[in-house]
Amino acid sequence: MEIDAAWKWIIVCDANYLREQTMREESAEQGKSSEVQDVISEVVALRGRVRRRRRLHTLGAVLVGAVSAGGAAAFLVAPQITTRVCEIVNGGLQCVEVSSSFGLWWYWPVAGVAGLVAPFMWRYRQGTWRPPRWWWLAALFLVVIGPATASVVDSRFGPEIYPLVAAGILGGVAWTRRSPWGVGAAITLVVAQGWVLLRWDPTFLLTRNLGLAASSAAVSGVALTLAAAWWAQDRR
Amino acid sequence: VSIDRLDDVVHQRVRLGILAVLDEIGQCDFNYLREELNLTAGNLSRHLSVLADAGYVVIDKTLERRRPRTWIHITQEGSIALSEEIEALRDLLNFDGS
Repeated sequence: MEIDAAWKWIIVCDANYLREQTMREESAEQGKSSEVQDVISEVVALRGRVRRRRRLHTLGAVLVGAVSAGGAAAFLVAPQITTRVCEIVNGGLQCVEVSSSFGLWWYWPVAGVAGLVAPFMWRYRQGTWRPPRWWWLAALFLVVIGPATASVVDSRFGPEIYPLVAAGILGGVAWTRRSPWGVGAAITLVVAQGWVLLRWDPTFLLTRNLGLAASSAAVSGVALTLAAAWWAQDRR
Repeated sequence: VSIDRLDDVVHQRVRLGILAVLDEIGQCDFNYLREELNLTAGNLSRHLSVLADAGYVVIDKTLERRRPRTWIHITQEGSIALSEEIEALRDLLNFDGS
């Protein structure tokens, strides 16, 4: 009897011990698991925060770029606008255009460069983008070679060719980098410019200048800022 | 599932944060990283050295307008190490012991 009682006690005690031990181990496992979960959650939250901030920066960059390009374009078409307003105010009397010395092709490099550079400057100030080593080469092209080439191309093909050239470059780069955004922007640029050219009435000089300059500047500004935003968003 | 898969260099909390930020944006300057992770300059610098020694980041100290500016970018090894670390942690989390 005594032996049986002793065995029973041992069995009960063992079962209790095992239960407690199991509970302790489970609790420790849960603790470790929660710690790992915390680490993962922290990393995911951090990445999410950085991503949201990056998107905000990109949006800011796009806005700055759009304002720069739009502002430059508005400044360049201002003489035509003021002339038109003058004619309306004067009841159709012809007004002398304030300034026609800005050749039409100027709006493109100015608006384009402003729209292209602004987003990068924005991100540079934020500390999330660094100019590549060949930035001076790009600057040289934009400031010297670009306009020089443009004037030659302009005299041969007319200013309408620039958006198409830009679309070609943008599309080519986008294609090689497999960016649907870039390809989309290039297609939009071609379609929009094609629409502008088809709608263009060459007999009405004012409409031509104003319409062509405004629409091309707007289209190119939007396309370039889109391209810049896409490029700026590129991770490396 | 083995804890040997965890990389000591990456696993440390701050370094994991540094790699997570860099993996998201590619490269950034020292101040951006310091503000993002809310660290002191000395602390960040120490952890960056460990990551640079392991070949996970590249530190480039430059002079811009006569002022020093440090740029950091993640390497491909760093990106892979981070992915593997997260994967190992997830496996540990999902491990049911059976």
